[in-house]
Amino acid sequence: MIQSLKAALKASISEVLETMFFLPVDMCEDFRPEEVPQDIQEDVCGCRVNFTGNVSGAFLSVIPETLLRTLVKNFLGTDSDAISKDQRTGTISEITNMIAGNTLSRWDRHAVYNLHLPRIVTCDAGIWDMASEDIPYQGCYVRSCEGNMVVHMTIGPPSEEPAGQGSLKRDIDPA
Amino acid sequence: MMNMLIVDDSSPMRSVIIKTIKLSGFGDSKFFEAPDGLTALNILRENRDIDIVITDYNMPGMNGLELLKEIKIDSMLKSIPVLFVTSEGSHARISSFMQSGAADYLKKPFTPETAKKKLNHIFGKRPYDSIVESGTESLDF
Repeated sequence: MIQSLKAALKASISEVLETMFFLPVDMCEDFRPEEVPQDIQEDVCGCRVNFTGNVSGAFLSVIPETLLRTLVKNFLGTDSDAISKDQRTGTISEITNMIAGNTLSRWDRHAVYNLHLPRIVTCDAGIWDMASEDIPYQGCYVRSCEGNMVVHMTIGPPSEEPAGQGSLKRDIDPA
Repeated sequence: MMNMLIVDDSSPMRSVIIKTIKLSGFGDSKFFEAPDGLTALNILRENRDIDIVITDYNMPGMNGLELLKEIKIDSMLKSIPVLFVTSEGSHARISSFMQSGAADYLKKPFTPETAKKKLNHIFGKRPYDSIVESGTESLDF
């Protein structure tokens, strides 16, 4: 299950970033949260999308601000350097939402699940708490010529509550 | 010229949908925007010449499916085609759209070419290829 899920996650990240954000990417191999590169631990924006149903869990995207600005410009088709907070949070929310929906439908088209609304999360040191010891997780460290980012996923058993609630207390506002 | 209502809680996503539709050969269309289903219903009732509703599914308040159901029970609105733009591609979700009367769905991420085929299909401009294209899958009911 985990391998097919990870393959779906990688394919989805590539499709989303290349189709709507015009950003070719390379995937890094397995990593643990403690191995996240330094540039994705400072001055970053994070977004979380929970899901519940036949499977439950969450997707977390963490993107450095410099890369996020490039993604906003590519997404909106603008050259302006005046990027608003709404554009930044809206763009990372769309990226995370698209990757989440795409991954789950690639993995199992017959799965029944509900994607929750994206939430912007604070990016302090505890952002990786969603990867607790008893919740399986998958992560992809994504390299691009414009910078690096991480997409992280937890998955658990059927539930009305998303698995890996660790970082929910850090949610600051709905995007 | 078409009048199109774009419903999505994300302002950047509404902008991208409008930009994509303009690139799809509908550049002279007039666009209305709503951040949720309830606002969309109000716009539809105040503007009787909307030709199509293009809506997200997952929104706060009234979601896209609830909006579709409200449109289909309103005798003045029920003939307006509704196109879903969604990142959720599960069979159950898509079935719920189509069985509730959606005209079609566009799965994110999408290209201008895919959007053009969907819109042309809905407006009957040319034969429709529903299979084997990026972001598009066929469903049998």
